[in-house]
Amino acid sequence: MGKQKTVLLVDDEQIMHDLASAYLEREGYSLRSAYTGLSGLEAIKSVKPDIVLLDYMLPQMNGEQVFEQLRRNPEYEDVSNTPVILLTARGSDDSLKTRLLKQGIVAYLQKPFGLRELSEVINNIITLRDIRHSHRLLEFEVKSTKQHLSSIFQNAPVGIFSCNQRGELIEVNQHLKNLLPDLISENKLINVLESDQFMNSFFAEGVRTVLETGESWKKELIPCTCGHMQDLILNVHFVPVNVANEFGDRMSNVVGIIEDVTEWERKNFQLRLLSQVTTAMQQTMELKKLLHLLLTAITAGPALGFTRAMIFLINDSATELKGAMGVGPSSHEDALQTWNRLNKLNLDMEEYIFKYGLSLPENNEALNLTVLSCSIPLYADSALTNALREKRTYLHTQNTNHTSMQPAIPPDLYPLQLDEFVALPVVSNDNLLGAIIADNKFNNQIIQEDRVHLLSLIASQVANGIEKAHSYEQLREEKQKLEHVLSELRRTQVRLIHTEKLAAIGEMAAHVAHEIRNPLVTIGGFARQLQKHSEFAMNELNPARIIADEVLRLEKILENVLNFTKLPDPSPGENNINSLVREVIAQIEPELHESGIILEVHLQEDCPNQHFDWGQLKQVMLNLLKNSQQSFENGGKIAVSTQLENQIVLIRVEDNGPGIGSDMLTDIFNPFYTTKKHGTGLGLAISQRIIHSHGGDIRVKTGLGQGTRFDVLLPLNFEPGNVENSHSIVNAVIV
Amino acid sequence: MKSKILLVEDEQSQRMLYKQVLSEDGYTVFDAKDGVQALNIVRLHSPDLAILDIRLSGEDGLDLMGQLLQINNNMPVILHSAYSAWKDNFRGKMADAYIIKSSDLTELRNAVNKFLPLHAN
Repeated sequence: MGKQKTVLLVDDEQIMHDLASAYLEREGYSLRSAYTGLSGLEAIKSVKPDIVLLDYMLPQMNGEQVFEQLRRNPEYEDVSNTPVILLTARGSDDSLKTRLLKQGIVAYLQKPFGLRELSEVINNIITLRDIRHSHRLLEFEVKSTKQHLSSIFQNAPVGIFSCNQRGELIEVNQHLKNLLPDLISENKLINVLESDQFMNSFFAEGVRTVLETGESWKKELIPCTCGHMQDLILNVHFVPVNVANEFGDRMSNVVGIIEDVTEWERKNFQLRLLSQVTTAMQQTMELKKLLHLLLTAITAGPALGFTRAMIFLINDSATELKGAMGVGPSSHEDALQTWNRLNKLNLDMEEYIFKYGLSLPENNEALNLTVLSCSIPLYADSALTNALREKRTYLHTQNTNHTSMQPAIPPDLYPLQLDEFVALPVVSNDNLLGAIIADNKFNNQIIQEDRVHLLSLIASQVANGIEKAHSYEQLREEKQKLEHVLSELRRTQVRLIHTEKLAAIGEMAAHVAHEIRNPLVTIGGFARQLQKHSEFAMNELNPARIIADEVLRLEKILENVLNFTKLPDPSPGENNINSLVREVIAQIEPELHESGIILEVHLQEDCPNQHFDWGQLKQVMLNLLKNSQQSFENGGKIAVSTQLENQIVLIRVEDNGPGIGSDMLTDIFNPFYTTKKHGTGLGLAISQRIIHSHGGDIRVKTGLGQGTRFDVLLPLNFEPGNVENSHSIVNAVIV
Repeated sequence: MKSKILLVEDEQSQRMLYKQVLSEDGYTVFDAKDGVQALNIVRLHSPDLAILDIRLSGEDGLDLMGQLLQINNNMPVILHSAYSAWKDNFRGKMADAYIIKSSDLTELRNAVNKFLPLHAN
């Protein structure tokens, strides 16, 4: 029961001290004594008794005056609240009693009083004082706990609310009020189940669910669709709380936490964007696709949220950055249309990046065209070019200071209508490869620092990508060159095989031809002798004559074979292809006319002179024309034309005859291949050899029922002895 | 007096043919099957013209031409061959004419007639 209580008795009569001492000490109190008012006050101050028994009738200073001093004198401030019981003999003086009680005396004992009575009063007072003290402590504790809780509630960095079972908000902390100001309407908390703005929102859904099921309701990353706060992303957790009302009824309330994770989610989104852009970049080697991907990412909705992005790449002499690509709207209307379209598509970022980013840009977009027509001259004096030269990021806002002496951008960029913008250098190995410019044209949002930071992260990825694309491009060019060389090689190989074959055939044919020729001469010669001396000399059916004619035909075939094998190199003179064609046509036209063939001639005007062997090319022309002529059974049409293109003369002989089937097409240039009754099968083979020896080529386009077209291609700059070169010239242009 | 022609041809059937045709044209034809016979004929009969097959069995008609011309440098020589390839040969060009063999003897006869015109007889 605590420490021993101390009682101070202030009385001038010794008997009182003796009595009180004997009794109170038995009761467990410690009694201290004072005999005058002044010494009483000093004792109160020094002893700090739990209770004071103060006699009214004291010398010099009565009890009332002592009490007055205790209460009023600042000297006794520490002990001024010490409970005081006044002892007096003047029991009939009610007015004094009332006055003193009013002044704060806790009790009034009239002499004579019993010691038991004194003890009871003291006990009561001390108990009361203890109760009061505890109460005060309790009160303080409650108050401070309340303050603590309230401060937690109000200052918590999450939104907290409670509402009753009707959906009326009871409490909403400051964070939530800031987050969703619409929760307060006309200075009153709203009813979330009935408010127009909230009744269809997550808020009402959550409260309703908790009230109906009695279970907690938790959702993450929900877009806030209520009130004016459209852009928020929230995590929410509502729980049921059972409380008793003042009548003791238990009621279900709802308490909830609402956390704003917009910023977190945006950061998360940005990180994902970065990772996706990096991933996507690895999927393309084409510079154009790469740049488009980059610009798409920069303008992709919530991530970086720039409306326009453009990229410039350094030229070979490193003097300027040439506009390479631009993505973004070109006008307010355009911007609105684009945003509406994208909203409808409702693509998530990944789809957006992969669907639009990796596609090829539409070249004809207005912004793209403008960017392509722009360059940033690096030598120019402007804040932008200075920053790029120093490989710094340049952020230009309305507040950016720049002197009138130095413009923000060089005039070359005026067509882009830049207001607020950010420009980042694209740097790899300390080399400036290009620059990215992005802005918020048409939505006029401020360019935020963190977006610029993210942009710079992406830009560093791009530098690698561009270098990679350049290397790839070079590789591809090398590969194309190699492929071209390889196809040349194949062509030459085929030609070689062809030539080898011809040489072998030629050798054999020459040998056979000579061996056959001698007996033919004898047979034919004697047949003529027989015919001459026969009585049927003039008769066409004379057997000798038939033998002679057949032998002559055989000899002609042999002559052709021998001609083919010994075809000499061309001896070219300066000639004109049109003159040659005219001569051949003049020679053959009457014959064609007779066969019912219509000849159309279209010659290139001003065809320059060139070197070719007149005789050999004439043979080619005659071969081609005769081929066509012989393909007709009942006449037809042959068109002959010359054209000059890229230093190559094209001679075309085209007929509307029956054409050649694809199964025979591969053989038509082979020697001794013929489809004609009286052909030697050497015409086209000889023609091809002649054309090749002129450094040219001969091509055929035909098909059954489609007529036949022969194209003879001759290089204008053919130099004899330079055949291989000339070949490649023709092929390079034709391929 | 008829003009005299030396005909050198190793194949007997052809010799017969040419001799018959040229004789009918009005020439005196001395035929030889090889170089030895040919040289003897030149020495004995001094022919006005020689027709040589280039490829004689065992010897080269072009070599024989050289030998014949050493004896009679003024005698025209017609090279007569199944090979057109030798037409442009340097020694082939020393001949006065180069005729490719054919069963149609018109070209040969024309060439002979050019050197030994028949109306002169």
